[in-house]
Amino acid sequence: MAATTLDVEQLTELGRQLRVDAVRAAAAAGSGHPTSSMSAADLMAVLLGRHLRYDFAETQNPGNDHLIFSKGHASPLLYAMYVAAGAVSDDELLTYRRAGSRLEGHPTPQLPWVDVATGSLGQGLPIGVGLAISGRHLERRDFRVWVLCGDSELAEGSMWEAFEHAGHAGLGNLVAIVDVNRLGQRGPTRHGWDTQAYARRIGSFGWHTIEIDGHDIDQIDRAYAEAIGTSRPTAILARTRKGSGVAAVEDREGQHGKPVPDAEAAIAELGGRRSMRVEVTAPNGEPERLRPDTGSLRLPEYEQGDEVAPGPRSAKPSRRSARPAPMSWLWTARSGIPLAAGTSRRCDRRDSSSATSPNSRWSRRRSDCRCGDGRRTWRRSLRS
Amino acid sequence: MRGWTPYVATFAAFLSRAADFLRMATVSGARLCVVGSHAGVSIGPDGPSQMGLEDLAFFRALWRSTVLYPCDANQTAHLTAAMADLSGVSYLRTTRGETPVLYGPAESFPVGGSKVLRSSPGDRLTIVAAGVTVHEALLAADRLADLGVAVRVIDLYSVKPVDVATLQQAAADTGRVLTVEDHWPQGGLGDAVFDAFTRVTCVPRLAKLGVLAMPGSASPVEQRQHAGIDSTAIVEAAHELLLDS
Repeated sequence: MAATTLDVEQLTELGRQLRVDAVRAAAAAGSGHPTSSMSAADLMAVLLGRHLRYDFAETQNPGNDHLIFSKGHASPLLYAMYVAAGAVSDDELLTYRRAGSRLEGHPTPQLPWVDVATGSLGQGLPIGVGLAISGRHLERRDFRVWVLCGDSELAEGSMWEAFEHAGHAGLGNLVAIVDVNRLGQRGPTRHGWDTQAYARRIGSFGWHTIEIDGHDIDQIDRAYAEAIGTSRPTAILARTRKGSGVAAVEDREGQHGKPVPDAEAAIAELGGRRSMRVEVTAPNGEPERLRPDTGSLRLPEYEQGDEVAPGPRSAKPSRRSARPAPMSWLWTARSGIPLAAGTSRRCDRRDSSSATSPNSRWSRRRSDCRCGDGRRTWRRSLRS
Repeated sequence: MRGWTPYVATFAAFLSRAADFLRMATVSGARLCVVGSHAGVSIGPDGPSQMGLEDLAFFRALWRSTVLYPCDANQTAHLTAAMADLSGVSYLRTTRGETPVLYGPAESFPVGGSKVLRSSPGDRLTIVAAGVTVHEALLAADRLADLGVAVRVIDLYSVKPVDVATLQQAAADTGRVLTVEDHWPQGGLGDAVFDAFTRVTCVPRLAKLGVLAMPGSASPVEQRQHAGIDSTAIVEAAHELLLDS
């Protein structure tokens, strides 16, 4: 079936399937975080069924959206999504957490659909910011970066650095989906279900914020559509119930990071196993990738006996050297784009003017960044 | 991002704040080139809050990492470029102060290699240094030569992987190896050198110079003196190592 035709009933069913499969995976493993998966199941069902643009057959398609589980412990949910997308078999799902399985306790790029390892809370959103900046300024693609965050995770300072950065950079291609299930590993979170508390804070960094019921398919769907249509980064603050759908664990403390007590009863309560398959929408457009211009590299040269600071501060050429020696080529960045976002100066084609003017150099590179075989050229020049 | 090589640079000291991200980058198998500047006590008067003194230990411990520590501007330029072709997390440690250019611009510095800067058949001891301490080691070698003691000096710019063959040859030739680094004595250059002598039958007499005490504000020269890693400290340690036989 085409993804866009999934109706509310089907999406509801998909959400139940994701819960069931998360419960089954954790039950088979004897460990894992099914309750943290169940709270976000409806959020992910609507994303997978209606809004994610991802070519599962071509994971290197540069137009693919990026989905990061910043709350990496919800890996049973992520793997259940892969089953629904037809990328992982049901048999493999049941290898979750076993020796030799790709389905590790927390996701890693051992799986071709996982960009980055998560599980150290507070890192997924910062990495999402980097990906979004890269999409805007390096790849110049219109892919979207979706980051599923936990509410406990918002206690991490790095999340707030990421919010601040994304707001400042106006990353309209970034969506943070916050699964506000109000319960952390050791009990209630600081703000509980007070999504306004999060919205006030995140909004103050220039984000568009949307507060929803994270188990209401219509509200979720509208929130994603609104996020896609917004030029600012969007945070969807979704009130959810941890362990949602299974009374024995739903919104209960002490159920973090363990299989549900009676998996069979839980699966029955959720309506039993399903085997829906979702045809996830692939991105439009040609898969051609914009390559960095890796034209010839000329290293700065210093005269023996001169005194030069070897580090990034030594932008000055050797006093007695006739040649310009701008060490700064490696560390200068287009103003406003931090180096942490990833900028390689390998593609530097320098002349005497650009050696002292990083911005003009950047502009030129942006305009003629089409060199396909530059890497070989660069290597040759380095060797010679 | 696919197709791009990210370089990140900040003070070596402040990369410690990124330790968890760097650890996770190795879990991801990410290729990342990291430059830590203003390393060691040699930054001088800014004081210990600005001094990276644990960075070599941390980056050496990262899974499949590379650790490079150049001692002059030409070497820095070459190694900075070489990082782009490495897999995994690579780390380049740089020095703040104006430093004499030892090498010509055409010199090559393969990763995993080293440079033997002083060598003679009569060498009685090997001094292994990297970065700023290379210059102290050369000064010490000159003073020892004036005293009639020939020593070998190795610039171990590749701290991981380490040039085991050259170190073992030097040990076989001289029998004594003295390391000196602008870093706490744990986990850095000295330990990298010592590791080169595991699983060998003939272990040289080893000594390690690293930063001795918590620094304060002082000039770079005073800092290295206080830390016990300047040429005077090297000469003294060399004498001790030579006597102790």
